[in-house]
Parts: sequence; C-alpha cells; structure tokens
Amino acid sequence: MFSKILIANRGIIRTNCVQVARELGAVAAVMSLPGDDFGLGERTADEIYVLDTKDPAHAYYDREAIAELAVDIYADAIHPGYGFLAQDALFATELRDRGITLIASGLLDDQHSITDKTKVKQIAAELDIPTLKGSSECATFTEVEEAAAGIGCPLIIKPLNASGGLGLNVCFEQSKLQRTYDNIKLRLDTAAAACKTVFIESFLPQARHIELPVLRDSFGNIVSLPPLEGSIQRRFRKLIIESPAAFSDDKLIQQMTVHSCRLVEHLGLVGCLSVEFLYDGNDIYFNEINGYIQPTHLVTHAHTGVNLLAQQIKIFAGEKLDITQADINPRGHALGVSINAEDPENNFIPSTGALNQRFMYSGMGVTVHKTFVEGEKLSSFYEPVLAQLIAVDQTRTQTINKLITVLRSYILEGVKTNIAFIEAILNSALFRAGKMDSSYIHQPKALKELITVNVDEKEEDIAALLAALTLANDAQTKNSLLQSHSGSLWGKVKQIFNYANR
Amino acid sequence: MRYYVRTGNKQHRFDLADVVDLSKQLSFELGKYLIRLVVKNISPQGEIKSVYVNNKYYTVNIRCRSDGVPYKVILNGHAYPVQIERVESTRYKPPVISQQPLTEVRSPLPGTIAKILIVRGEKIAKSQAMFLLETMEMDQEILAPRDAIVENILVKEGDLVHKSKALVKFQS
Repeated sequence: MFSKILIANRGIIRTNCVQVARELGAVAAVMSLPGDDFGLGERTADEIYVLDTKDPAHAYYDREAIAELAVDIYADAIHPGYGFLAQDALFATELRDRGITLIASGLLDDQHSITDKTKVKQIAAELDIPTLKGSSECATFTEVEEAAAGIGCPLIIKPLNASGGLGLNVCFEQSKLQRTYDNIKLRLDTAAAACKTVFIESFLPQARHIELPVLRDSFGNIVSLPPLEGSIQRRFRKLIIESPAAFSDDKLIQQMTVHSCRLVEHLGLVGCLSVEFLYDGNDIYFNEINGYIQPTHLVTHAHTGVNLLAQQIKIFAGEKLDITQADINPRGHALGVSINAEDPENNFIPSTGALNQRFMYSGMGVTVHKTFVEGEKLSSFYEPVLAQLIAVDQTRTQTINKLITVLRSYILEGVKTNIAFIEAILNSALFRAGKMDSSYIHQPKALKELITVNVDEKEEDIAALLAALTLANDAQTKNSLLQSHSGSLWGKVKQIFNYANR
Repeated sequence: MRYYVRTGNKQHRFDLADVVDLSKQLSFELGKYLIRLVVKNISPQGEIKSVYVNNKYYTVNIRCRSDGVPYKVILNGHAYPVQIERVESTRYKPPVISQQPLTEVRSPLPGTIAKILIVRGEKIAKSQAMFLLETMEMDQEILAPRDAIVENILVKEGDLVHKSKALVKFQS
C-alpha cells in the first residue's frame, strides 16, 4: 500500500478519498485554497496543505505545483478524484519519472491517452463495438464545416478531451454551426482545462445513458459491475444515478457488458474504468471510456457492497483483485442524487452563502455523503455540489419512495438548493415508470412543471401569520426600549460611543 | 394592531394584541379553520426559530430587510415570500415598501464575463440572456429580469467581476 496519498481534488470525492485512504492504512494529505473554510475533507485529513496561489479557480489543474507538493511531502501517490487532473492521463508519465503513481488510468502509450476520444472511438469500431457517426479531430472551422456536412444535424461539438460536460455544444441547424463553433472556441481559449481542438459527433436528443463500471488489476483479472443509468441530466451532468439501470433489456445489457470488458482488455487499462453507452430507443452506441473514479461509485457501493474507490487504490498499489465475478451479488435497487447549491427557479444560478444544516434523516439504507460542515462558507470558484444522497431498498419503487421521504426531511439553510427539483423529478410519472431519457428535463413544459413549487396553502397561512408576529414582536421590542429608557437611552449610547472614541 | 400580509395570491388580515405573549399558545381564526400556534424555540435576538402548529412541528427561518420588515418565511426548508402590505396601528409604522422597477442588474456570483450578448440601446425582453458568466467550472447565463432598454453596459468581455458588481443599466 502507498504510504502517503495526496488528494488533488475537493468536495465529496476528497472526503471519500480521505476516508478510504485511511481505511487502507495510508496517510491522507489534502490540498486547500487560501480563504477556504476547512470542510469535512480537510478536517478529517491527516495533513492539510494550503496552496500558495493567486489563481484559485485553476489551482487544481496546476500540474507543476501539485507534482512539486507531492515530492515535497514525500507522497508516493496522487489521487486526482474526478474532473481536474483525472482527465489528464499524460500527467501520469510526468509523475512516473518522479516516482509517484497517479491513481487514474488512461495511458495508451507515452504520447497517447484515452482522452483522445476520436482515437478510442476508432479502436472501439475496430472491435465491432457500435459507435456514433463522428469526425476526426478538427482544428479550424472549415474542417468542422466539412465534417458536419457528412454527419448532418443535430450534432454535438465536443472538445477532444471533454469531460464533465464542460464545453459540449449541441447544434440543431446547419445555419447555426458557425455560431456554435465560435461559442465553443471562445470557451476553449479561456477554459481551465488545456484543450484546443474539437471533434463532432451526431447527437441523440433522446438518449439513455448507461454506464458500466469495470475493475481490472495489473495481473489481468477483470470484474464487471451492474450497469448504472444516468439519463436524467442537466448540462450533460447526471443528476440522478441508479444501479441497476432502469433500462432493462437484458440482451443489450449483456452485450454492453461484453463490449466494455473487451475494450478495457484491448486497451490494456487497469484500475477502475467506466464505459458509457447511449441507447436511442433501438440500438446502443459506445460513447466514451473514463479511467478515473466516477461520482457514481457510491451508488455501485450501495448496490453491490463493492467499494470501487478502495479497489482502485489497491490495484494501483500493485495488489491483486480480492474479488471475482462470483462475488458480485447486488441487492435490491440503489438510487443516488446530488444536492447542489443552485436556484432552479432562477435558471439554476449557483447559490453561495454560509451553510446551515438543520435536519437530516438517516437510517438503514440511507447514506449521506456530504462535504460541508455547519456554517461553512461555500467557495464560489467550484461546482456547488453539497452532498450526495444514496438510498437502497428492495425494489425500484420502494427506493424512490425512500429517497423522496429523505429529501422531504432534509433542511439546508443559508443557500438555495435543488432538493425540491430533484424530488419533483423522482415523483414524476415518467421517472417512476423508468421511461426517462436525456431530453426529459430540457423540455420547457416539463421543466416548468418540475420547478413550480407546490404551495401548501396551510403553510402559506402559517408563513403569513409568522411574518405578522415577527413584526409585532419587533415593534414591541422597539416600543418597550423607547419607553423604558426614554430619553436616557440615546444619552447612554452617546456616552459609551464617546468613551470608546477617546 | 391590525396587520395585512400578502402571500402568493392571498391577502390575510391578523388582529394582534398590542403586546403579544409568545410564551403562550396563540389561536387565530382563518376563514373556516383555526390555527393554534405555540412558539417552541426563540433565538436570543427574539427571532422565532420553531413552532408547533395544529399538531405539526416546523423549523422556521424568517428573513427580514434591514429595517426589520419580514419578506420571506422558510418553513421546513420551503420558502414562502411574504409582503406586509399595511399595519393599522397608532404606535408603530413600518417603513414604506418601494415598488420601483429594477434599473440595473448585478452579478449574482463572482466570475469572468465570457460573453456579452446585448448591445447598448437594445430593446430586450424578459428572460433574454444578457451575459455568459464563467463561474464554478460552468457557464452561467444571466437573464434579463424584465423588458427593458439597455442604457449602458458596465463590463467588458474577459472582465473578472465580484459578486454584486453592476453589469448593466436599464433606461428607467
């Protein structure tokens, strides 16, 4: 096992990594930014390093500073979590020269990695895995235009190493191509993640997203886990994840499982991989493969009992997988949702402020992975994910009901959250029937229904009454103050003020 | 004292005693039904923090403007906007609530102005995107709060803006 792991990430994954690193007997070191309130990840870590940076928005992308820190503190591994440097598989070669392991995979050789999506697609196609029609790498608009003519709209323009939905742009009409490209180009020129070229792919507006986690150790042992579904997305980020997928075509799931294992083996990847497929109502298409731990690992953990994060770290430490396919015995149905500090009624603008948690139900089958501590001020530079709630129960319906019950009892104050919005999606007939796809919450009518808060008339009455009482109480306080200290109060205040200012 | 409070589409009228004793159970007749309210928890500053109403417990958070007039009541995490419309009292006059339309839009968050989507003098419609703000690893559209004419744009593309920085001025 590693002696010290530097965790180069924030939020929930940092908290999880600290926990797991310590469970495995490694020292957990974390990075913090100047001005950050110490959250749960920092408070539970063995060592905290506050970065000396003038550019907090890009601090977790700073390869050089992070590598130097790891050397300075004698860390023998860096866990990049997800996002940030996790996508930067070539960083691993740089670290290898310094004797440090990057706990994320994706290297094909020393110059190429799986973040080169066009190359991976090509390899997948060679293995007879169905892929979407797409282009190769495009550096100029002329190249994009030519490729688009062959593919047809709707299409999606992606940065070559896109991840986490950043910079993805959909174009529905040929005439808007230039505008879409200009938009994405501008973003790429200023974006934190270094990537300057794009590729295009035909876009499935009503797709279901199925993700297959695969574990593979350096001895070639491979284990695949149940398919996850994350079809409810906003801005290409998954809001609700379930394991197993609600999509239940056994034949296709079997096919996807076989495809994903073959691809992982063919690419020679080790660690915790995630292979994503899209389903358009008829066929499946390979979408992408990621070599880093996914935010969805918690849902798989709840469903199967397999801790992907711990397995991943053990594999990178050179250990043999201690489970086989026969040990994967999923139970019931697991659902996970992200609670974000954002305002659904106001175009989902992130909400900042000091967080206050009033009540949180927990119990058998309910796990709350949170990142904040009471009163913590949220940083405005990073994604406002506050917590992941995971529920597991015997059937899908029971799990949905359980999660809704938990969400109703969850009171977070100080910031606006998407709790009511998530609750509304879970409660919708489409989701309950398991027939949702990625277009659902983008349909203006559906979205409007989902963000309309159901007003409880009796609660409205109580609210009005409390407002009146508060004002009455305030008036009472003011009146009594003025009466009891009439005249002398201001004199007294003035006296104290003068005294303090001498 | 008589209080007129508006929530949503409803106007409520409450007659409260000059001195309300919050340590006792309070009863109010509201249309057909009765509200029985017990204040369970009150902060040292005198803010009501939790109540027991008609057999149900609520955590309460009341947001007030700087002059002490409440504008929002949060019950168990659900926010209800409230508006004190009138207080009939000989002893207390709450400050008048101004109803002037917004003449400027401020940045809701710190970030970088990635793109400006409006021009000076442009007639814009409510909910039209005005700016693209890069923040929290995301693009955030800033929408027009109402129909308006752009009088002046106060930022450039690429500007780093702080929270509450004025971005655009509308003609009044």
